Amino acid sequence: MARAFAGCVRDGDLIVLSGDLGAGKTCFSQGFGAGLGVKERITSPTFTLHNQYRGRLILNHLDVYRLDDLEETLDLDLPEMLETGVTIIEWGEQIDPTLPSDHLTIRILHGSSTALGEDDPQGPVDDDLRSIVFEFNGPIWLARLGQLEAVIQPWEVPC
Amino acid sequence: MLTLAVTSSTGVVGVAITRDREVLSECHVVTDRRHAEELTPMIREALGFAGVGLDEIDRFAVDVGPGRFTGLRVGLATVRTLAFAKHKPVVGVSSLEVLAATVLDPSAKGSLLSPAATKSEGCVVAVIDARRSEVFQQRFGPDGPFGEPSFGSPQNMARLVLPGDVILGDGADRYAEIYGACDGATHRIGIEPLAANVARLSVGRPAQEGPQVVPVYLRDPDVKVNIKTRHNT
Repeated sequence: MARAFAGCVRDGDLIVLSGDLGAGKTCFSQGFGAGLGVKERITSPTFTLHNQYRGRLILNHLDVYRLDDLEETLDLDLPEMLETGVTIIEWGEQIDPTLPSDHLTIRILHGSSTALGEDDPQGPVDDDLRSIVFEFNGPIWLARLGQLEAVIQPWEVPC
Repeated sequence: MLTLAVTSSTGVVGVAITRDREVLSECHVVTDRRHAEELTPMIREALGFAGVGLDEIDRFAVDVGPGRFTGLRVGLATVRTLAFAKHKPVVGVSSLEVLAATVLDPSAKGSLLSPAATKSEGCVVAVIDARRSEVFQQRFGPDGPFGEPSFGSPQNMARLVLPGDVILGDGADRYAEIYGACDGATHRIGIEPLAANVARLSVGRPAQEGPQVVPVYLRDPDVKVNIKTRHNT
């Protein structure tokens, strides 16, 4: 799905990946990178903070889990990074106040419950199941709602 | 007085070596985001062209913003390091003023922004791209700047331009359709801050210890929240 979704993005796009450890954020980024035509192996940027890849577009892959303070996000110089290519930030919801209003949040949740952030009282039944929720923020993404819906439709399950 | 001046607040990195108001050498390169890689070799080059050793430099000058975050930090860090190593002072200059000085000849006597040096009767509006669809802007007249530098959307900032003004800077170039439509104003395309103007503007200004010269970001978000705490709540 990430691979298919990569066909919809363009220069300047910002995607926030949210989900617990092991939810599959980096896995999603790898599929996304493949969809962008990135040949290199995409690894977790947890320690490097920022990796850059070249595909159809430049892919900026960030992970801000390690940052302790919002002030540290200044050092990433996001405004400059967003000038070229598409940017994916894992754990990006943690730095939400520093992000531009136009961004897409993708939440990867364990289990098949589509209830946002609400844990199934029985706990995850099948560890291999994931729910992926797209959250559109800002006019740039809202305008593309229909296009994205069509692309991810094959994976859609009735709520 | 030998000055080594640096500009790094936009997509142009530049170094100039001046003796009082005379420019001995000047190097510039258009670099998107390779400020760090370009600056140090360029300093060596500019010194070489001028036939001056780093030890002979009496003081350093640098543009302190507003401008690009990474570029500013590279320029400031480099200049402050050199000043620290050579025990020499630093003069910080506004990037917008450096830009305006391209038109308002800073080598003119007396006031830096001498009216005699301005071809038009109007003032100069310096506009620097702030990213995120915003610009930094300040208007300069014969007697200096009008108010403090500010930032906002190009649409809003362009409303502050008056007839007869000369508009310049990478912010105006990027939003040329907006700034080009300002009534009675002239948009001059392709004007960038030049290191020689950083040097000229620094003449006669108080020099500081390196660490006292700090970047002007103008747009620091309020980012004091501890994110780990936020995450857990």
